[in-house]
Amino acid sequence: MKLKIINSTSHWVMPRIVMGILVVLLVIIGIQRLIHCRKTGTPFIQLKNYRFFRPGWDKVKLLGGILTFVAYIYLMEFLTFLPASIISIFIFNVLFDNERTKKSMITSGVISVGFSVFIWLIFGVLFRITLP
Amino acid sequence: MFGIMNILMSFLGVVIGIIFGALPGMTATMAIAVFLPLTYSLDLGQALCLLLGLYVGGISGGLVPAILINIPGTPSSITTGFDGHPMAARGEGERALKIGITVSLIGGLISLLALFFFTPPLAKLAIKFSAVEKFLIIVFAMTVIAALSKGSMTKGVFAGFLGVLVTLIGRFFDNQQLRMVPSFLTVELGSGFQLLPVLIGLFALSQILEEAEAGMKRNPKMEGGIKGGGRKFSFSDFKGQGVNTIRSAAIGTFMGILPGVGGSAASLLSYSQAKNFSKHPDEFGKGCVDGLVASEVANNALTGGALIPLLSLGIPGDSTTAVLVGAFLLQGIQVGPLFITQNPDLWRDILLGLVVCNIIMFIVMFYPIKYIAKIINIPKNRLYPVVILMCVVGSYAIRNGNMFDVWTLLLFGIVGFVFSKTGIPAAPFLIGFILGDDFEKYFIDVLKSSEGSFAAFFNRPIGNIIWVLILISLAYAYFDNKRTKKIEAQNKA
Repeated sequence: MKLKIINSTSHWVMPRIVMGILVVLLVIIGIQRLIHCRKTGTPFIQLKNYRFFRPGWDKVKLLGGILTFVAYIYLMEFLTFLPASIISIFIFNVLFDNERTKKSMITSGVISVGFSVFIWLIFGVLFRITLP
Repeated sequence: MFGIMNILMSFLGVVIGIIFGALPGMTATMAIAVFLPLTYSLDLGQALCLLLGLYVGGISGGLVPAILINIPGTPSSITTGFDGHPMAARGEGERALKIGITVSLIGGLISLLALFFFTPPLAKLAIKFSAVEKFLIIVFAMTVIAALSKGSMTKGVFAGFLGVLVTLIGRFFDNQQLRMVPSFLTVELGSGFQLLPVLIGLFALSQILEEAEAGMKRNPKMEGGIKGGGRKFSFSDFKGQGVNTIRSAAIGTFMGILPGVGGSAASLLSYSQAKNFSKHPDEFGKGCVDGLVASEVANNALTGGALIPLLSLGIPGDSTTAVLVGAFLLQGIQVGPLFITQNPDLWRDILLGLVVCNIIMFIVMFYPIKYIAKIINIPKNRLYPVVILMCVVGSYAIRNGNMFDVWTLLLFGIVGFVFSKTGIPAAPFLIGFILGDDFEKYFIDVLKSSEGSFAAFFNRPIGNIIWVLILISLAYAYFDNKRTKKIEAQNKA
């Protein structure tokens, strides 16, 4: 068996092979599931009882966390690293905390300002690592 | 020269590693991923000391919550709580912790001997490898991943090849052509996805997303102190543990050498073997010292073992050493067969660093154990925002300020979250991602030199030995997978 390597198209050789392997593996996974479902008498696709998230999942913390992360990226573009981090880390703290008391808000504020400034000093000033 | 800065970095790494390891939901892999950016401005010797400290501390710290609240701090301490927690429950918490810490040191040092003796000869053999053997050794690594993905062999291989496919995105080194890149991302993805944001996303951010989904619940608090009315620790506790220790260290080191195997597999195997060989197997799970020793020796022995294939062949032994590849790449050093001969000082620093880190781990954990035990009361929901901050800094700085890498971090955080939901293991994906470029390079090189003939893959004696190993590994994978599924079905019934 031969596979001639032509320079102008050589960049597609491996991706095609790997994609082929992945398709074969997906088919195998499908067949394995089919056999399993036949043996146990369960339907191949269970849309009705299918659950991607765990029962009682915390929508606010998960989706809020992802949205805050996206907002953090945009904030860094507009406000630069330090103010964007203070705001975002405060929101993350409030979001992830299970209490909404005055004390917990103050703790969130102290952590967000303290750690953002600390990280900025260590990485940005001391080690001169590029920050947004 | 291994100087005071190296010792300081080791100390810093061990202490932070212990904190990460002792908090359930935070792992040694996460610690290394998050602290990689700090190494940008250090020399490689110091950077490695910091990272090795995080590795040793992270693995060792996991025993604290496993023993005190029966929740493993890291996956590798999964079996530590089986016997450690019953000991704590009968008032022997301090004794269990001190036994665990002492044997962790012994496990770490034994695996270090294996690293010292096995890596140079393996590297010497690997120097003789042509592109054929280099390609085949990567195929072998992928099949071992399959062999050890208990009950989910196909998903393990799928994850590995998916990692290879993702790493192929970008410009091909040979003809400089772009592939699989959308037209609006040709600049950002020209050199593909960067390793650091991918691994931080997979192993740190995805973990935070999982915890967020679960509601960031607090870990149960430790009730009372670690001191109880039970038996006190004494070195006579280790009487009769010699064989158990050596066997567990051998299992941990060997499991570390195999690519894609985590500490959890090492400690589970070691624990089950200790039970099989025990004269009193019925005492296991009820606070038996043998079980605690088996678990803790094995998971720390993994640290040296996992470095053997990394430093001799360039193949990471577990997800944490896969992250270490990132550290080497950041410093422009290629790990592989030539690593030891080209970097003898660094090789010595790694060995010395591991000795120092293990000793520091022992000193830092053994004597002030009363205070170390309190780490588990730190609310992790206060630490996660800081971890996110460090993840962002690390990803942004990898290419001297590129916001696309922060988007990559978020993308792979979500990918890692989806992986865990669908049962696709992240470690084989990362190993495939790291090895993918070489996998392609050697494959193309072999075919070019043989004018496209596949016979070239079967013409070399060492290559044929690797083929035999691949076939053995595949056969083992097939039968073991079948056996595991049968046992699972029986358990369900």
